[in-house]
Amino acid sequence: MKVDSLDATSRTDYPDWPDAAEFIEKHQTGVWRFLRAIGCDGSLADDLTQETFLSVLRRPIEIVNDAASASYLRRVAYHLLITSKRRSARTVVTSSMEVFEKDWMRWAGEDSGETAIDALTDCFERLTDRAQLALRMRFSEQATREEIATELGITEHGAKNLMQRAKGLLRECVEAKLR
Amino acid sequence: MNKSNSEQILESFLSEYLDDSVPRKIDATELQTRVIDPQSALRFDAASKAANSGWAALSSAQGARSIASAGSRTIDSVHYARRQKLRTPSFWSKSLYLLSGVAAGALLAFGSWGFLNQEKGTGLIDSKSDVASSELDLKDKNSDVTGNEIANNIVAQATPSPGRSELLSMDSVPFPTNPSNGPLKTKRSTGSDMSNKPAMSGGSVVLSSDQLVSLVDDQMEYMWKLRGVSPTTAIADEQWLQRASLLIIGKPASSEDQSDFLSNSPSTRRQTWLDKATQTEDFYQHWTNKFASAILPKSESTESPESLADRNRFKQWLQSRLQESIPLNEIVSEILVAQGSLQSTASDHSPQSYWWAQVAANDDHSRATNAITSNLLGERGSCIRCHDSTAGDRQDTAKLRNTKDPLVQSSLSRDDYWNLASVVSGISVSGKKGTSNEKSNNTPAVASNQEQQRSSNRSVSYDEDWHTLFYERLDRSLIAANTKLPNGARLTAPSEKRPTSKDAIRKNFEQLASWVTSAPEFDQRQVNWVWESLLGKPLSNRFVIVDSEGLVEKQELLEALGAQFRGSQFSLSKLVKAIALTNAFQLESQSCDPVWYITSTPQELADYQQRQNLFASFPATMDPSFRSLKNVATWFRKSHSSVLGQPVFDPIKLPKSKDSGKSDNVAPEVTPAQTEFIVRSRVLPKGLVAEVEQWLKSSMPWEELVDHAFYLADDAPATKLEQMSARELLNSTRDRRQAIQRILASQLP
Repeated sequence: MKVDSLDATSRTDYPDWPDAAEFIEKHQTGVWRFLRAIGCDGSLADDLTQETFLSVLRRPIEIVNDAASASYLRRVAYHLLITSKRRSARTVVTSSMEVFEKDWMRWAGEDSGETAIDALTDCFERLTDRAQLALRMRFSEQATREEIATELGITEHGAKNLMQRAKGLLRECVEAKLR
Repeated sequence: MNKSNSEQILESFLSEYLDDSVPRKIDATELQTRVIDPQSALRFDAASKAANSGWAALSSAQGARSIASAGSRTIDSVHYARRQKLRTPSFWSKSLYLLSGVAAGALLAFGSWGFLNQEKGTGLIDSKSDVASSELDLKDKNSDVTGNEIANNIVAQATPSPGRSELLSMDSVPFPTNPSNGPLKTKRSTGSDMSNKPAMSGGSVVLSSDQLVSLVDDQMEYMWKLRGVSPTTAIADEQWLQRASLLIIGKPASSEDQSDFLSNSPSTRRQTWLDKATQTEDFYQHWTNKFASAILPKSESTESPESLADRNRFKQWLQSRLQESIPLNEIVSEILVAQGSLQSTASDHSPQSYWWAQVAANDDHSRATNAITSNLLGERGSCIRCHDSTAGDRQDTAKLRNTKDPLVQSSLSRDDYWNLASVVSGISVSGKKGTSNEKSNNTPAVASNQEQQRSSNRSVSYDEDWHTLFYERLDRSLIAANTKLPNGARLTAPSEKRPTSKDAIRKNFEQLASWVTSAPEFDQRQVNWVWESLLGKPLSNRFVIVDSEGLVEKQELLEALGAQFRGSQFSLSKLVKAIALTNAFQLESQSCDPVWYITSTPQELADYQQRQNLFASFPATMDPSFRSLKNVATWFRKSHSSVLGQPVFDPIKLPKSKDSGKSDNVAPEVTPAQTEFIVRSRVLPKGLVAEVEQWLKSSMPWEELVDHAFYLADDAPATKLEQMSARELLNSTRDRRQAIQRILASQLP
């Protein structure tokens, strides 16, 4: 099967794996990033990304173009996340998929977020050292606000404000670059 | 305020960048082994058995067997084989042969009706445009006036005619003094040139109840004559009482009511009953529910008990305002400027904030803007947020909408929509629907008290930290919205540097409320939902693709009734009474049972549809027995589930489990949404076929295509269930064009 050209004559064939592998390679990062963005940790995102492709390969889709495929994969991933959350009796992270999808397209639409990550790298370097340190501790070392505050010699409230401002600047900077 | 999506995405990217994390590589070979499930052979046996025994009698199973025996061992291949076989012409011919003559007749009738509609739809649009254009030529000679002109005339007439108790003094006339500068751009009036064309306003003043009835009757009669439609006969008094009682006070008339009613003089008994009924508690309760449904967006999921309690308090508030005779425009104004907590015990408790809490939840300001444009103004918010009919960026759409007819053009441009969204984004909803802070604090003695105390912890407030809103055009360019109203009034815009004061935002919302409630479209929207509550569908849809028949006359009547409604201080009881006394409300309902559907000729079906469109028979949708094709579908499914059910519908969904306990010849299950897609399907009018082609040329994902089909028919996107069913339909037909056409056809009124 070619994932993107399933028709009556080819349906009885088994998947043409080089094509499937290509399909996976093209979309994997985008699906994974999307899952991370809607609240999955790395491990869950890995699992659900795999489940997403498994689900699609079991029930192939008619592909019009890459953007449509990516959109469909995100939908599948989202539903798998909901199912997963329901199983563990937890609430779903984002409630309005339509709205989220629009923001996602704005941020990462065309190239699975590569441009956004590049922009982010650039913008991050422009932050003050203290802001960079605070964000590194928060996102890389999962440090608590208290630990960050102690490290920087400021109050917890100050640490919170510092990170909020830094994130605000990053958002503006990245959005400006994406525009 | 909740974390925004952008913030959420940024944080995930930041985390990926700083943590240097990458996705785990997927092994395609491993997936291969998982796709080819070792258990599939067992399932295949069961599935093929079902296929051969259950369907062999109805179709040629050759294709299924040959494909299955070719070596495919996945359950999907069996599904595919069965779908293939069911799609072959031999299936239908053999199925039809086996079906009773009744079912065969139904299929033919559906098909023919669709074909006929296609022909008819095109012809009618053409004839309407001819009428419209000839009317434009004769416009100067015609003394007819539209709602806006009535408004002008009322303002211009300083001296009310004596002897009319319902005339308003100049001070109390709530019309805009200069409608051309009104909130929405005014539309050109069109009408039809006939010597017996009724004068829509009956003059230039607020009409009495009798005159209002005559206004409607004259216009309806004119519309019927113009198209050679003969209305059904009028119903008797007893039937009228039952109908009026159900639709006006929400409950059937008792035998006592009936005898009271009949004891009055025949010439006055209806009026007497209406006068009495419109003063009752039941009347206000019933119309409160209707009004709430009209202004609130459709709920996609079941509401939590807390949210339902909030809704009930909102309705109680609405009812109290209606009973105090507060005009609808003032009630809506109060809703639009409302803020406060939904908790009944909070010091800033504001039950009317429920509206904002529902429409602007999750910072979804697009939904809130849709609620204003669609639910309050009757505009197509879901269309204009992307497509700009005023800018003509979709020439194809302009053609489809018959540009000769200005009525189908929206008054709002896409930029207007997003500027409005920018204003609306100044509001913020905090808290959750399903949680209550009071639960733990209050321990009521009985459950009913607990119910009363229940509320969500949602709160509506002005967001001092609001931001500039950006929106994307179809060409993907990103535009910053201006914070201004469509009438040009510029409001306080968000500052990226400092918070905006709540007072300034409040003033924005006050201006928004003033703009919305002074729009002629607002008046017409109110008349439309009242009309729909009594006669099954809105008086005028204003969307030519969906509802073209008699659009000019209906829109003209709507404008006049809208102006009259405003002139009568939005008196709900007066409008309800007037509509209930019109000929259209008193007509016989045309038979709509399945047997009639099956035995009627295509011409009869077409006549039936035309009468429904032009209110020349009481709509079958209000008939509690068999309302529509959907009901017929349900009837078929219930009556013939084992034999007739499936072939009549499309055999799309195969049973997932072989352990369901059903015998093999039981028809596979079809979800309700699918049933509706299929059974109500008919051939699309040409205009819609072209519209679908435009959609297919774009790169819209499937879900968006489905949403477009739903937007077109109902101005609301597909629900999750409908999306799932649509996806299944696509998977079965494997043809986007065919699938989307069927979905669209199924959704048309």
